[in-house]
Amino acid sequence: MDEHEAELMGLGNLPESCISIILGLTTPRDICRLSAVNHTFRLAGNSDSVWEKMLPIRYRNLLERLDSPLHFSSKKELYFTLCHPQLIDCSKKKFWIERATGKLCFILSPRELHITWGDEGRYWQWNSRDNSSFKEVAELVTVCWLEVRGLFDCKVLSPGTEYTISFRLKLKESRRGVNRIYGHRAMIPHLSRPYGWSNKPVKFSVTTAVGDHQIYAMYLSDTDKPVADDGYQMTTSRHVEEGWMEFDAGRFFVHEEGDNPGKIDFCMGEWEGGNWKGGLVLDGVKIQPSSSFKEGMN
Amino acid sequence: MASGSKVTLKSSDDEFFDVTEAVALECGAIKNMIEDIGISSPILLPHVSRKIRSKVIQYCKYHVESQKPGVSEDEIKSRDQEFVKVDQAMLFELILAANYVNNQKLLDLTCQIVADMIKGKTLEEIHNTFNIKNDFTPEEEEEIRHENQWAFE
Repeated sequence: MDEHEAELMGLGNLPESCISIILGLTTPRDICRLSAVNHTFRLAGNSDSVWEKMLPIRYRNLLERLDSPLHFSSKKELYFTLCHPQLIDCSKKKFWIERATGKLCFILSPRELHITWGDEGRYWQWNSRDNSSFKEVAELVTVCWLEVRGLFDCKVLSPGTEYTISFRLKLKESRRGVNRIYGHRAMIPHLSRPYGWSNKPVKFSVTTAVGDHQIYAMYLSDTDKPVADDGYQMTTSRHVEEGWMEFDAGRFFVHEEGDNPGKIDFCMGEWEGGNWKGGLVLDGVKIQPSSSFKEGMN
Repeated sequence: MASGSKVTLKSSDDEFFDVTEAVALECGAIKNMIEDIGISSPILLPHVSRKIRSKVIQYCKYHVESQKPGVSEDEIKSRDQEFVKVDQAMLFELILAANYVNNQKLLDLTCQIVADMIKGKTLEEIHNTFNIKNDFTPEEEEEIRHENQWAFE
């Protein structure tokens, strides 16, 4: 190769294999956009070697846990299929990939959680709803001891990512100005309207395997009401689709290598007030990159 | 396989160059050739110019030296970064050469630089900065944009 030819050397001269290596070091968004550069970029951008790098490291393990097997003819097709929630672990969990980043997200069904008094029909009922994440939601009839706990092994999550754990729920639609108080003797066959949520804020907490503990609080019926007087830090919450709300229990970082949060414990509870409360509908617990909220819905 | 053994490389401009066996073995393709034909004859590298050959050998040399104890990861990383401070033409030639002689470390290093350059860029910026021709018909391009709409938002 003489000096004259060397001057003409550019990105356009690289073989497809080199373009594949380069694209594999970018992002899904870049790969898709740059497939319009020229034929070589398009071919390289469709290759399995590139999309293998975009898929989550342990995707094969997740595929083994699917309720029903997926069929795909390329890694690129698999990637985009996994951008939609997939049921795993006997329908107790769903996972999906954030399209632009390739980060894993999970939602745990209420059946995956430990709900105190959850098996007693006079306290909690299991129903189906059109807009729920799973077949069933857990609907609170009435309790004075509200406690919902769960566990999640973080080793499956995307490295180099900060995650937020949130409880996804809603208070059943209530009539304005009405706030009835029911005693436990009133065995109501129909689910009651929400009540009992203005006495004490609900506490949300996360504990990592290495013992880092975070606890926050929020009044479910009035998210602006201060919780400092009760001795807590206010959590963050957001309205999401279909009338659901997400209340954050805590955040943690999954490192590239080395120290890992391990098995994370999380809890939503209110048992300090001693009062009866009801009318809460629990859809599940979401574990997603904290950056998902800043950028809005996928 | 004595580490002091010499291997002779011959580049596209017919120039001969000696390196230690350890340095030569950094490149997978050269390693394969040595395994097949030994080190007594020169290894021919017709697609590598003298300029590029000497850069690649420089890279291989200090990577062999960095395998000795006492060289930190950070030192290696910062030497790598210095090594790739070259103009675009040289960078792409290094990629081609690394691909040709199969030096995975050098290939990954140089490709990362290009990846960082293209991330987030629009198509116009890519076509202009790198002087690449768009070889799609308008219909083909429209189809690709439509398929990948989300990536253009």
